[in-house]
Amino acid sequence: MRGSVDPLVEAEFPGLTLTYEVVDVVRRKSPREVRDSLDRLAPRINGATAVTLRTSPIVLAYRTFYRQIGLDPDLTPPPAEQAVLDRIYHGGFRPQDSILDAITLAAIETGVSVWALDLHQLAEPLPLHLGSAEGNALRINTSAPIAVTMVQPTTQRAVFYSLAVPGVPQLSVDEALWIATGAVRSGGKVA
Amino acid sequence: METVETLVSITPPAPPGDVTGAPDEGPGRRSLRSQIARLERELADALVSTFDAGLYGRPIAGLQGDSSGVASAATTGAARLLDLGELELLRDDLVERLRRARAPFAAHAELEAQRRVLLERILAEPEVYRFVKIRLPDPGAHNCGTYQVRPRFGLIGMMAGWWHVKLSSGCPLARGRGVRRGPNHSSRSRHGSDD
Repeated sequence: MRGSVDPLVEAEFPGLTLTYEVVDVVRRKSPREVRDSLDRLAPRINGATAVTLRTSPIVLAYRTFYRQIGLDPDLTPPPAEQAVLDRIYHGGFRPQDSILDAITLAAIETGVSVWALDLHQLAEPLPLHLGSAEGNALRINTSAPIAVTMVQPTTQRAVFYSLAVPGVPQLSVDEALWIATGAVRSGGKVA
Repeated sequence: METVETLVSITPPAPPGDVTGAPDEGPGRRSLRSQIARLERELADALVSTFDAGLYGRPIAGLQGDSSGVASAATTGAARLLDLGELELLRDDLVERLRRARAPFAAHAELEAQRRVLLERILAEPEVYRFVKIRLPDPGAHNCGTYQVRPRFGLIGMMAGWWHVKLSSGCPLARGRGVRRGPNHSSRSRHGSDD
């Protein structure tokens, strides 16, 4: 589903779109299919991948967007870059839980950044709206800061969302959300 | 007085619709954001070039997060819309990071240039640079051989003052120095086949 973007924010970032999907989740160990997918992806990534990753168009677009919204991508890398760094540090993708593994899977497959929010923690009901709050802070539905995954151990309904920042095709965003929600929704049946 | 009137007359008018009279920051912000995007891309390319040039392992300032940068104030905290001043700070910080990231390449290029000048002098007057050995590890522009000033005919040339420049056989072979042999050979050949 397509969320809305505040005109002020859209004026700053022409073409920025917010896309999201709501999924019923149970935070637990990822299904075997998801873990197998991560194991299958791990050997594809090596040091050369990590070095050249930031020159790939989608990752570079998110790094640039991070800079432009006051985040340092070297300190808080976008999800795809963080996943690759974790893969290099740990020698593989360490399974965490159903939500975080789904985000990692989508990020590795597409390079697109996907984040998750607890639906019940949002200050305002759906649909999602990206706007600027006090101090020009960028917020989702006035409560959640963007580019941060905020889920609880007790989260039952999660909102997976992504931003098609300038330079990232909407098709890639849709694919990333499809992979992430598919990994959670279907009990781990990943294409 | 006439000069003042001229200056006033060329001041650009406020954009239409700007009832407050405040300057329109939009074009400036767009320009800064495009500059930041370009600098970020060049920084990423600098990292890859570091590996290509074999400079990896040396501390490359500017490629990692640097809290000492002037833009630290603009890149901390939660995501937000940066104002014009913060965008300028961020742009300046990225310029500085890029300059520092490229510094090793400049130093490397300067070293190579010095070596080439020295090589030209050696080739012109080898007797002045006896037994000097220089290496040219730039595989793009030159070979990766070693040049050394040696006497012709060994001791005879040394005593007679016959010096010349010898170039080594060039880049090491991909298969290593030893001759590849079968598994049934002695340990003497094992070292050469472990490549």
